[in-house]
Order: sequence, then C-alpha cells, then structure tokens
Amino acid sequence: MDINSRELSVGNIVVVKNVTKIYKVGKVDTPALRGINLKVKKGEFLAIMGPSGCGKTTLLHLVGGLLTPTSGKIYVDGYDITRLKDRDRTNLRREKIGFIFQRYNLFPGISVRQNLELAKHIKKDEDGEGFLEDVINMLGLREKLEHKPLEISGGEQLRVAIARAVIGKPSIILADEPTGSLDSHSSQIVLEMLRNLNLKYNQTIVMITHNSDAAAYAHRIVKMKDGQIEDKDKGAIYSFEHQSLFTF
Amino acid sequence: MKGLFWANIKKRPTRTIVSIFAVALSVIMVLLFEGLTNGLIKDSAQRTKNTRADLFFQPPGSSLLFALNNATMPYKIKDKLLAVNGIKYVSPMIHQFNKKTFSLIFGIEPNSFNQVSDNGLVIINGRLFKNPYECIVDDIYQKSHHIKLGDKIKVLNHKFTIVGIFRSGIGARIMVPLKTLQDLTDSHNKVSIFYIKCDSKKDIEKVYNYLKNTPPFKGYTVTRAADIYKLMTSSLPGLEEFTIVLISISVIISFFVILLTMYTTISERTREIGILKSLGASNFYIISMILKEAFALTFIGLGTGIGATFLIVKFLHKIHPSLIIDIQLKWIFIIIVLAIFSGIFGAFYPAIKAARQDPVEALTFE
Repeated sequence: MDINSRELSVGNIVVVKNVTKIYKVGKVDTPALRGINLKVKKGEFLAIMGPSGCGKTTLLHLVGGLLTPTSGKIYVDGYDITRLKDRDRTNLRREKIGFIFQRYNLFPGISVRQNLELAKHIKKDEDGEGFLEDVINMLGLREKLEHKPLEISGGEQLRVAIARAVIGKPSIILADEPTGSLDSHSSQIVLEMLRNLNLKYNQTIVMITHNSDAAAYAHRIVKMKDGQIEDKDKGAIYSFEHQSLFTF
Repeated sequence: MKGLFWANIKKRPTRTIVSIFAVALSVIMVLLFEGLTNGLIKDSAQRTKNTRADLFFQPPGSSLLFALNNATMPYKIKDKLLAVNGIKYVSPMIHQFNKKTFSLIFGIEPNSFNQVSDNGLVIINGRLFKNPYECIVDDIYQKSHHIKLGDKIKVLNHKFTIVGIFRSGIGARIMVPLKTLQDLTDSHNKVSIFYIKCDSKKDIEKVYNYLKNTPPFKGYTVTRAADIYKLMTSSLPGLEEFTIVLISISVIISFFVILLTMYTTISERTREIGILKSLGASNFYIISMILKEAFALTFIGLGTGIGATFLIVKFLHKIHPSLIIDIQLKWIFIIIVLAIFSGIFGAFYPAIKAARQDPVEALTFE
C-alpha cells in the first residue's frame, strides 16, 4: 500500500493526478495525455467519451497498469502504481483490475469454459466458483460454455469477456469500447449486464465509448479532447436517481 | 492452462510434427549409432572371449579391434611362444573384415584353434574345410543369408564353397583356412594375431607379464581375455571423438529446432501474450508456459525417437539377423537428459522474449 491520501480516504478507488503521457516515435515526441486529473469512486460506473486519438485508451491503459505515465501519479485502490515495479503492477492487474477489450481478446483455440478457467487460474481465484457460476448465469452463458469463441456471436463473445473480467472480483473493471462492434440491440443487452454487475456487486466500471446511448448507462460521463479532460466541472451526469450519492 | 497448452500445441500441426520428428531424428541417430557400435564391439568381444583363449598376442601398437590390423607378424613366432613356460597352445590367425558382407572373417588353423578353444568350434552340419577355397560359416550367418552347404560366398573377391556350419558364438561368422587368407592378403607366412592358451588360470598373469617385459616379445601388444571388452571400446580409434561429435550434432539439432519452433510460436502469439499480461499473468507464468510447451514437444519427440529406434532395430534384425545392436539403458538415459536440456535451453530465449513483451504493444499486434 502506497499512500492513504485524502482523496483515497473519501472513497476514491482511482485517483489520477496531473498525468501526462508522451509517446516517443523515433525522435518525435507525441503527447497523448496533457495533465489529466480524474477521480473515480468505489462502485461508480464512469463513461469516458471523446474523439479518436484524444487519449482515452492511453488513460485506460495507464489506470490498468499496462503503461506507465511520463509524469504524474495514479492511485488504484490505494496503490501508487507509478511507483510500482513491473512485477508489482502485474500483481495489481491480477488482483485489482479486470479488462474488457473492444476486440474481446478471447483465446480462440479454447472453449468459453476454458477461457474463464484460464483467467481463474491466472488470478488464482480458488474460492470464486459460486461467484463465477452466478456471473455465468447472469450473463446467459450457461449454454455456450463448451463452444469456442468463434462459434458464438459477437455479443456473446463480449459477455464472455465481461465474465472473464469479473473473475477474482477485481476492484475495478476497465472496458475499452466494449460495444464498439455490436449492433444496438446487442449493445443494449450487454450494457444492461454491465449495469447489473455494477449494481449487484458494487463493481467499479470505467468504460470508454463513442456512443452517447452507451454512455447514458453510466453514473457519470467524462469527456476528453486532445489529451485533456474537457470541461470537468460538468463531468457529473447521473443516469440513475438512486445512485446520485456520488458527488464530485 | 491445460486447454491453452494443447490448443497451442495443436494450432500448427505441421510445425509441431516437424519439430517432434526433428527431435526424434536426433534421438534415433545417437541411439542407433551407439547401439550398433556397442553391439558390434560387444558381440566381437564376446565371440573372441568364447574362443577361451587366455591371452591375445598382436604386433606392437595394434588395435584390439582385430580386423583393423594387417597380418605383419611372422608365423614362426608361434614356436617361440610355445617355448614360453606356462603357454600350452598357440593358435595363429588372420582377422579380416569383409566389406561386402559387413562381417569379420577369421583365417584359422582348425587344429590349433580347437586346442585353444577346448574344441569350441562345433560343426553342426557338414565338416571342417580341407581345401584352400572352402569355408565354414556359423548358423546365424547361414540363417540370415539363407544359404546351405555347397553354396558359394565371395570372400575378398574369391568364391569359397561352404562345407560346414558351426555353432555361433565363437570367433567370426565366416572362417577360412589361414593359408588361403595369407595368400589372398599377400601376407605369406604372416599372421595378425596369436591366441594363447595357458597351462592353467594361475599362469595367465605370469605369462602376461613375461610377454610384456621379456625380449623378444617386449613391445608386442598382449591383452588378457578378461580385459577384452573394456580395451576394445577404449582403443577403437576415434570412437569417443566421433560419439562426442554425433551427440553434439544431435543436441544442436534439438536446440535449434525447439528454438525456431518456440520463436515462431511466440511471434504468432504476441497478442495472446498481451492478453495474458492484461489478465495479470506474471513473467514467470509466461516463461513456464513456453517452457512447458517446449518440454512437451521434446518429450513427445523423445518418445517417438526411442520408440522408432526400437522399431528400426526390429526391422534391421529381420533383414540382417546377424546384426547385433545393443541399445543400452545408459544411452537412453543420456539422450533423454540431453534432449530435455537442449529443448528447454532452446525455448529459454523465446520464453524470455515473450515475458518481456510490452503488454500494450502485444495487445495491438495484428
């Protein structure tokens, strides 16, 4: 555990402070994030919107510990991940974070069940059988467990990716345009499922989306532009009345 | 984990099969070579031992692989040897390797040979040779070559009539008159070896030391029958060096095949490694996953190689019953250790490379 700052003590599971990220391509510096500040509360469903290339995915990868920032601090569940060694960031990803990718990134050569078991094995989730079964039922995957990912529809693949992300009950789920390649009906179903996960398990979700209908499922929408958070004072949008306890 | 493991092994069946065969081939190469050399030497040593001679007397610097020596010793040394106190019988011989039949031929004097071997040369069919171009063969040679009495075989480009079949296990598979072999090898009144029988077992050491240290025998190569196998293997010129080269080639083949296989595997699976990293798989997890796959390929290759070696041996025995192939457990163990070592070592660099991949780059890999 790194710090127990004021931001963390008020229930923020993610705190991003003055984070910049500059990609070096040869001798050219390409800034992706320019001093980002963001807080995400435990149990919050946050949507990040913005045009392509504005740095949304970079921000998600930084929070997920897949990248390290050029400057600034990122706290995830109390850990300053900018100071963690590679091994510790791996541990953090394993224990605290679940990823949902736009392309789902399932292993095509193995069945749905094996995909989930592999994640369970990596996350060393020994006692989560009941929880996983619950999630499998909730996501309607029971009938698809023995199928290989390419034998099921895109929406079903996404549901498998969601199930895999929640294995081990991570503190936060990071979803990168999860409904980007789905039709509106399938998107709606999946977003309902994400919302249910958020409600039932108080699961923090940070979701990148281009789609304002998808973003409307979140408690709050943050808009990004040119590597910065746009108009952050207007960032608090509450989709659900009963969750308006979040104040920023 | 198991599911992904087998999915990856099965993903590129041709590549997997080629890798397994390459490992198997190197295993077969080493085991067959060792089996053949051991078999030939052991068989040769055993049959030499079965002659019941106590000592072998050869020209200075001779190889114990008798067939490698030319007949350079005067025949008359026989009388000098017989005059040595403690020596009972002496049998002069020429050992000749017949490239055409890939077999050893002894030129013997039947009487002295039988004296040394306590009548060990047992004719089971026919008779001993009486004329210059007659020969006797052992029963294994007869069976493997499907021959019968009266048939002719070619020895040193000359036809010999088979007049007798002797019980195998003693001397060579083909025996011809010493005098004829001397003529055919331009070694008139010369021999390549004397088999010596001592008066009693207690005399062996005494005679051995006498021959080693007393002129005119001093300088000649004298070998005790008890030492024959050990000395045969150690004195075969270049055998040890050749074995080392062969094993090195085998290890290098396995190493590079596994290296190449695992390297191409991880290149193809960059994205997969990125996913594993995003799930929180540690470097150790990824390294062990790659090493386990390499181990599986090596292990299957080993099994295939060992199994195929025994099948090849069976096949060779069918077409050449006289061929002795002695595959020792020691060599199976050595090849298992070496193949696993080279397989794991070959996979180590690709495994490290996989573990060091940047997760974001890996996830965006197309």
